Amino acid sequence: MFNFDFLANLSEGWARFLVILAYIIPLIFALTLSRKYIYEGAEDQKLWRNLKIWVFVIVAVMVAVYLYF
Amino acid sequence: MALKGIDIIIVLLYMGGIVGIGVYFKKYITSSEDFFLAGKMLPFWAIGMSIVVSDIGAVDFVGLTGQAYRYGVVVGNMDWIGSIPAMILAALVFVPYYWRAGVFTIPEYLGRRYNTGVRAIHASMWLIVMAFGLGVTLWATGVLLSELMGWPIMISIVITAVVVGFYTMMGGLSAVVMSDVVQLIIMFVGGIAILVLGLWQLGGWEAMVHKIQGLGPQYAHHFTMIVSPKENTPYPWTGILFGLAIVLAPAYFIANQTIVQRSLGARNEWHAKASVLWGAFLKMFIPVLFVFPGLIALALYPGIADGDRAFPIMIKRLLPPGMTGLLFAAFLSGLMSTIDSAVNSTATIWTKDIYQRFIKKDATDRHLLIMGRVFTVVLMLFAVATAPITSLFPGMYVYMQTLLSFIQGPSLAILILGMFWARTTQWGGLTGLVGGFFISAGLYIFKSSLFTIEDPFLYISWWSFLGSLIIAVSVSLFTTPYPLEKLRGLVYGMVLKDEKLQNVIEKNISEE
Repeated sequence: MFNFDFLANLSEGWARFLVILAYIIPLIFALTLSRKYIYEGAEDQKLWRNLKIWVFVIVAVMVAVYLYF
Repeated sequence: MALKGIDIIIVLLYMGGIVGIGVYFKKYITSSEDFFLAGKMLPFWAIGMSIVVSDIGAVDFVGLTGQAYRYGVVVGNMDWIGSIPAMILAALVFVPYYWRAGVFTIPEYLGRRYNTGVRAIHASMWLIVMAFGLGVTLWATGVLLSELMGWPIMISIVITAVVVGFYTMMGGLSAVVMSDVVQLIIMFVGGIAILVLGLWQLGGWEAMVHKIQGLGPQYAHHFTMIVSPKENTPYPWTGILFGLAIVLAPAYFIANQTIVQRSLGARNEWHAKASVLWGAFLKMFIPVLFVFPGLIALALYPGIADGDRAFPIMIKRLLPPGMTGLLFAAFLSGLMSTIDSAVNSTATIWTKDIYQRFIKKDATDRHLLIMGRVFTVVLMLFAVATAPITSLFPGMYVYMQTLLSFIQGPSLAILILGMFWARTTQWGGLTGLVGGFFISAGLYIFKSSLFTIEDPFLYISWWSFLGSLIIAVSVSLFTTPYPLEKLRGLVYGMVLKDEKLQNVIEKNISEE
């Protein structure tokens, strides 16, 4: 049990899916946040300050990496 | 091997510049908030760079590259799945929460949320772990300098400690963060240099892959991020997901004073959030700079008995004069950034959570500023004295992770419960923290009979987190919670949803 033996037989594909899910969940969470919260304290509301876009770019790159390796 | 003239000039310029930053920022330090939180004036880009470079140190140059030499790209999980999701959550949930609560340290929050005992225990644990962690980092320096230059290990350690201790003591968090910016740039330039030269010598990525795969069936998993727990690896995907992504990474980016302190010095809430996301973006490149060189070393020099020697050997055999000095400066950057951050945050915890709270409650702000500087010196002396202990443990990186896993799981458990469940009581928090620590220690002592892999720090962190959570919830259900009025400003929904109330809370905290 301490070694997660019950998951040892899960296929590599499913394991990869679970790992990628760990990226997708924070992305979905970020996308649900209000515009006011995202820009709170920002000097202006230019597009590059939209932190949702930052999260999207980061997650997209990471998912691509985990699909490659 | 000795540094050539140009190498020495590069290294001296680097050392002089870093010391100069400390001297420059000294004139801006007039209060303890200036020293510990940079006067809350830092921009996001500097904080983000500082977060990344603080996390990447000499241990990674030597240890991470060495682990990649032994186990392959799976080691990249430490900086990808082991950082990025947690950093996104830290940026969007936890950092703005701390920022609005107006606290200096994580133990300070825990003390307000639970009781003084939790604050004292948590602060003490961190002091011990960080102090010994500094010894590990210093030892890694000594090993590389010994390999590269033939210098005596202890002399290298003392010189490094003097330089880092000086600029950290002078300029506080401002000097730490701004020197980190310079250090990150140097590290990236140095890392890219060794990557490009290595791949060029091998004939490109594909040639490297073919060469490693041709070394034998034991290298079959060197190019996959997902390794089955059935394999004999310290990085099984189950441990990576449950131990690293769900426990160790959030504990590091959410509950680690060294990391959080930078964002608390941000000039406003947007900069605080953006700093961690910018750090996450930069973090994506770290495996490229430190894990891939391990693979290059394997392809170029197979058969090295100790993987930790792969990086020094690459510097020796791969780089031309001039570039060696740059890599040397990059290595020193990694080392110094880790040490300065740890020293500054540990001095903050000592001064705010131990000294001001238990030893001299009526200390003036100037007194606290002096104490922060004095403790910085004391801590460096302690780290120098304990560094040789590291040589007793094989695999420095694993040793560091093991130390951290003892405390990270329990800390995260009571932090999350305290933030999101108002029913958690002070006794639940206290027993969860202490109980979790003993679970970690027990699992480590009996690891050979409980776990099938040699270094089960990922599993230990998961089980200690879960154990701590269960203990804290169970005890909370049988003890009396604080009234809701006492929890305002400390539990998630009561911090982020009422700005006027939050302003009152921040005012009360500052008056306190």
